Amino acid sequence: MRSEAADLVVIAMPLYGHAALAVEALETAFASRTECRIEVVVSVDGDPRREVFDALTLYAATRPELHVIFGPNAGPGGARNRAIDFIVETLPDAKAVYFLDADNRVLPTTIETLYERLKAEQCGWVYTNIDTFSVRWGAHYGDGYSRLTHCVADNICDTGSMISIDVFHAGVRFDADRQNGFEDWEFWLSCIEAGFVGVPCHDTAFEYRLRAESRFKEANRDRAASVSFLRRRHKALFRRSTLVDFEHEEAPRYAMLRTGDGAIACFTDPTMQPSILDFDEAIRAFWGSAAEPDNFHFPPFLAAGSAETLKLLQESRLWPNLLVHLERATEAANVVFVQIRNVAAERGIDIEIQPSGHVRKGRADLVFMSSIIARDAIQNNAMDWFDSIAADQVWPTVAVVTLRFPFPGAAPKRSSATPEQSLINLVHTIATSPLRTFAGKRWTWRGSRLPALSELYKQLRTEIGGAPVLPLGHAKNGKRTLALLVPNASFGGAEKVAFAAARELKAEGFETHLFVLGSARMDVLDEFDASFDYIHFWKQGIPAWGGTNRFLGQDFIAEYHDVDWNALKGVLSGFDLIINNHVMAVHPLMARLRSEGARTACYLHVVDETSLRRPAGQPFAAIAHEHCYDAFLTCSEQLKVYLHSYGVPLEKIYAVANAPSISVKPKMLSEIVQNRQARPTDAPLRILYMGRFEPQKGIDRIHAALQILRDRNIPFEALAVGGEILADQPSSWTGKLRELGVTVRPPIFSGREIATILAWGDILIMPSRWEGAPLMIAEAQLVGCVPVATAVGAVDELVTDGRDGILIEGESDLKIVADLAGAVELLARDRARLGRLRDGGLFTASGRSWAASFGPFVEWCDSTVSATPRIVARAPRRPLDQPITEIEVQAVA
Amino acid sequence: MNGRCHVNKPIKSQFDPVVPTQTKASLRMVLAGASDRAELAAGPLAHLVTFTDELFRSDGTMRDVYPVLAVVASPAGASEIDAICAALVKMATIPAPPVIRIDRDVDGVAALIQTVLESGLGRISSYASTMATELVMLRRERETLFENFRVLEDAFRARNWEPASEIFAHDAFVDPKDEGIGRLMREGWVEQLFPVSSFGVSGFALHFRNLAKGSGEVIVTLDYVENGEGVAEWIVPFSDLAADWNFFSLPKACDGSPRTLRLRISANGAEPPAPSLGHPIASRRYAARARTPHGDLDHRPLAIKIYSGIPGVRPTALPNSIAPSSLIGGRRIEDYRLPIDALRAVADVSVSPIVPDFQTIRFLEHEDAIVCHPLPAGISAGAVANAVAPGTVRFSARATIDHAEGQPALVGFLLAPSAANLRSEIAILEREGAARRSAYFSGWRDVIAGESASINIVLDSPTQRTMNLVILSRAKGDSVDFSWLKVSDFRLVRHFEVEPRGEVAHAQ
Repeated sequence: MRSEAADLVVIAMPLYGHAALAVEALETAFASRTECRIEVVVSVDGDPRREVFDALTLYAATRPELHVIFGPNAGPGGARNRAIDFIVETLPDAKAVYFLDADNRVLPTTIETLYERLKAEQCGWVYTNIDTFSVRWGAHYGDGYSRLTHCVADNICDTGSMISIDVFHAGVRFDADRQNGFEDWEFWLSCIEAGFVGVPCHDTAFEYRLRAESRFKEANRDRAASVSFLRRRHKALFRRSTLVDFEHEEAPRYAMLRTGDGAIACFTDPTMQPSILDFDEAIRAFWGSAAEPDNFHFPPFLAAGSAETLKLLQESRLWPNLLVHLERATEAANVVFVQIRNVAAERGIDIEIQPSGHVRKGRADLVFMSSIIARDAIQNNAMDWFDSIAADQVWPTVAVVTLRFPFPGAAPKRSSATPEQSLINLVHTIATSPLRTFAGKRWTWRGSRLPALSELYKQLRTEIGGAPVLPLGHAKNGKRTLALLVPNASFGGAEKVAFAAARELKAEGFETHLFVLGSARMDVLDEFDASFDYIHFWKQGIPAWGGTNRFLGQDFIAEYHDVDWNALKGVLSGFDLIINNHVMAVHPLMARLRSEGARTACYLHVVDETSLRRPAGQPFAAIAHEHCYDAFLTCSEQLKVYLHSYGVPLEKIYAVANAPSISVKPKMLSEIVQNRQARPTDAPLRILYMGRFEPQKGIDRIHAALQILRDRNIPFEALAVGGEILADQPSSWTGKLRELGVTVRPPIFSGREIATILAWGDILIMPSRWEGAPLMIAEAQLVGCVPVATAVGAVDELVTDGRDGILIEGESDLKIVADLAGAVELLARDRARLGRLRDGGLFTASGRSWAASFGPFVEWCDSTVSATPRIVARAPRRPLDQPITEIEVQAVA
Repeated sequence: MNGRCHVNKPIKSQFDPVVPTQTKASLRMVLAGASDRAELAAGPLAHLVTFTDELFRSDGTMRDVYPVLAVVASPAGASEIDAICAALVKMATIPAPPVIRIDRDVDGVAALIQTVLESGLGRISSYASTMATELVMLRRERETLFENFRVLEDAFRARNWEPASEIFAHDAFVDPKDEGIGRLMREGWVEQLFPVSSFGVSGFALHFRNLAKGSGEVIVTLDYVENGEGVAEWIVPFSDLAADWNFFSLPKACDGSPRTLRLRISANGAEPPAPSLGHPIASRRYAARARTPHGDLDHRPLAIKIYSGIPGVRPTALPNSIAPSSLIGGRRIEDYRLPIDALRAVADVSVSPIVPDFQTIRFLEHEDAIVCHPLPAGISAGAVANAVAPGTVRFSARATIDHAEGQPALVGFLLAPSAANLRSEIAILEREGAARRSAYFSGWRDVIAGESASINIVLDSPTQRTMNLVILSRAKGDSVDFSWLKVSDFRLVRHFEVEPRGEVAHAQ
């Protein structure tokens, strides 16, 4: 007689279609040898066999611990839920529930062993391997539980598991949807989502009756549909961030050997705390994974570097992106050498592939390779070949990755032990281990049913639909994540505006990622350099433009275009918000990213024109993909209306008035204004042009207008800051301008320099043929430089003619040149008018800010974009290698 | 005793009167209309009846209600029963209950129904329950028989009567630094999981590095991990072991579901022979384990060979074959030691006319041993109360005289019921030379100074209840000078009945 104080374990048994077997299951349940109290709840799921009623009535008459629920047919999930509800309501002291299918059997020790393990591990559930009878089949489900495997590979836990009552008190239930053929798998995913974890128990089993045909087999025939159902039902689980978190904990992708202390840090997400292996553990993991890849994990990528190098990489904001490049480089070369360069004004990644026999120029800061190379070198007795990675001439094929970014100090301090030699030492230690002798023999006798732990990163790639997968888990502190996509990152206005968006969202609490897609470098902009938490480059396989199909006669890239979709999907999956700023190749991916849970926005700046003045450019490819975007951002009301005219709903479009991309401190501004006011009224007018020397910007009009002013003897000083686009020009504009006495300076990029130049000019001329909403106008007004500009694009949204600048209307070049010269002449002669316009510009600029401009969009983000919920394991997880624990047998009864 | 051998034995409950269980009072098998509540609530059916308005829960289910029949005491009740029977049809599982009108003689008919349900139906259900138990046993046996029949048939047709096939081998790896494995066996056990499925295993071989000095036994047990069911046990005198591979044959090849086999080796005697260890492996689970951790076992399994084939046939390459001492199929084996606290509480229950001027019975704290110094007359006895758990089948310990000039003595052990008067038991033993039927006596063994003696008690059948262990000593000759008899290494083995006897047990 068991004590009332003993823990209560409930065996729950759904019953449908097994009238002739249910009693057998009940018999084994009641034959359990356990210290626990046992109650059995049978949930009859509308089984039409009346034998069920007769058998259970007779059985219940002799078994006070048997409870029977009769209900209409609700499917296996519904029937189990009825049992759970019954237990929660009427057996409140139940500690755990074991689900026993009516056609299965438990062994006498199953309940006791599983419950003891559940108590010891404080986990969500304890599961066993599967041994079937009738039709023989067996499965070993790993020595350790992996949420990643459970999500992306297969269901590794039968419902015949011991489940903590906490799971049900947390509200986890079976999905009763009959469309779902894998209601058991779905249940475990719900448990994982609720923060519970499982623990395997190999010390007992249950008897699984397998017949030639079964419901499980039936469900597997429609596996694709069922798996798709699971993915839809548990979107958060299948986000990149969640899966990478799991990978980081359970099957880390990278093993980084620190040259100084020989510790091996294992991680996937380089921003998270790694697990540390010593040499001994690494050797066991290496050889264990050879014969029992489902039980042992050795990271699939191996690297070596000094602690200083790692610290520098952590601070570079490029580390996750570098890892992606390194993974890809291992597909083209046996070994990858990373060299870090300190470059003040840019960031970038270059990759060179070298054939076997490459003669090195300089040592590597970091060495990276696939673990398979080490394994092959050992198994093929090719250690001499491998050892050459530390020599001047390297026999494995090599990828040299050069990483450039600004950092304080000259270069990372070099460790006395080189990364190459450290790696060689590790591989030699592995190769000479006594474990090698019997590494080929599998000791676990049940067949492996799980993918190799070291190959899980490939499963992850398949799940994400891209490769390599960006090795970043959840953002810190529950932040939402933003991916801002740009085709290049130089000094263009479109980039600056997008960077401003990132700066505002970062201030709002987003973790910001800049993706430069189609280029492997960026210029460092002091004004926006701190706007990004991470910076990513991907150049290969991303065209800036492409015309695989047409939309209203405009080119767009379709999904069958030759684009490196794998790379794009691998790095872009899993963000909470993606803003595409003119990356044409990404449009076809957006629908998939959005369906996975990302909110998407498209930032547009200008409708371009071809040389024959056909409207063209990014807006049309974006409109072609309107369905994929939750929001559009434009730099003007005009562009907003333009998009609406193509069928984009107004509510979807946020017109963000441009503000200056530079900031001027109040003291400096006050000095600038004082200087302007102090200038003599007869001093020559200072005319400024800043921009590319090209027809779009009206460089020819500027030249003609200045010529007219010279001819009229209007006193002026002129400065042109910018560069030529030589391919477009038959001759040099620089020379022509200089002939007119114009000072020409190369482009400038720092905010401070731009402000200084603008402070010099009395007026900024901008006779462009087409524009969006040029930042330069707002920046000029900021420091009291009066803009004189053609009224193209959204210029008239920045300039109110006669109040804070002068607008020149018309399309004829002759008229515009004449009007521009006239306007300049007027201001040169009427300094009072110039002063009024200057003050008007200063007033207009004082009311502009990016925060105000982005306000409605940021508000939309706050209401629409949510962070992917982080799955936090509720119970402490124990290491795989448990010390042997024994239940002490007390001799005294 | 194996439950499988007793399927034809009458099940007790078939002949014994059925004692109604509590469910006879609570199982609600009668359905009645809500309108008849007043009539039935105070009658004999009150505790058996479920009224129509309380039958279904809000989610449309019925909980712990078994409507075997319906009773009607009024027209309103009848229409309610009609309606509820229509609703029951939707459940599919529950047949429409027969309706009995009891409006004329409510108490009389109700009493009849109560009697039928609580007595007749109760007895039948109890009998059905025993039948179910028997059915489960028969089904399990049928599965095994069919599977085995097929294996035999396939072998017969193919004529592949391979006497013994090696299905796994892990050779010995001689490391001169390996030491202390024998001590681990003596103080506890060394355990090894088989890396192959149990199905078809007919024997295994262990490698011993050298022959043992002195006398003693190696005890080898094999059981299934998943359910703790024992397979066989080998008790092998040191002298029967070869310094090479030793084949341990199974009485029959393992059948039933494939399971994990667990080998456990322990020993008694001063210096047991050590089984050889094999090359290191990565798996911790399949490395040899001991009760107390030992560095040599770190990631190293025992050197082992595993065979399938005809049971009892020695593989030709192996020099030595050992048959099992006992078949323990259907039982679980537990090897246990006496807790220190129990030893520390040893009580002096000596029966002697001499009153010694020193303490003859005491616990040696740092050696976990009990001193039992003989006296020139009578029996010195130290009792460890309630030390022997039910199911114990074997007891062993080691005795030495811990003084170079100690005089020889006789040592023995007595297992006596916990309620017994121990001094009286010992007095009988001294007087009659034998113990009572309710006790077990090991017999007397000689112990001389400088040599340890192993004492074993193997019981004919497992102890049924908790028992006291009494350590006994007496003089062998005229003198007991310095005869510091010290007893240590208490090791007990008990057996539990497991599947399928458990299924029978609960039915009884």
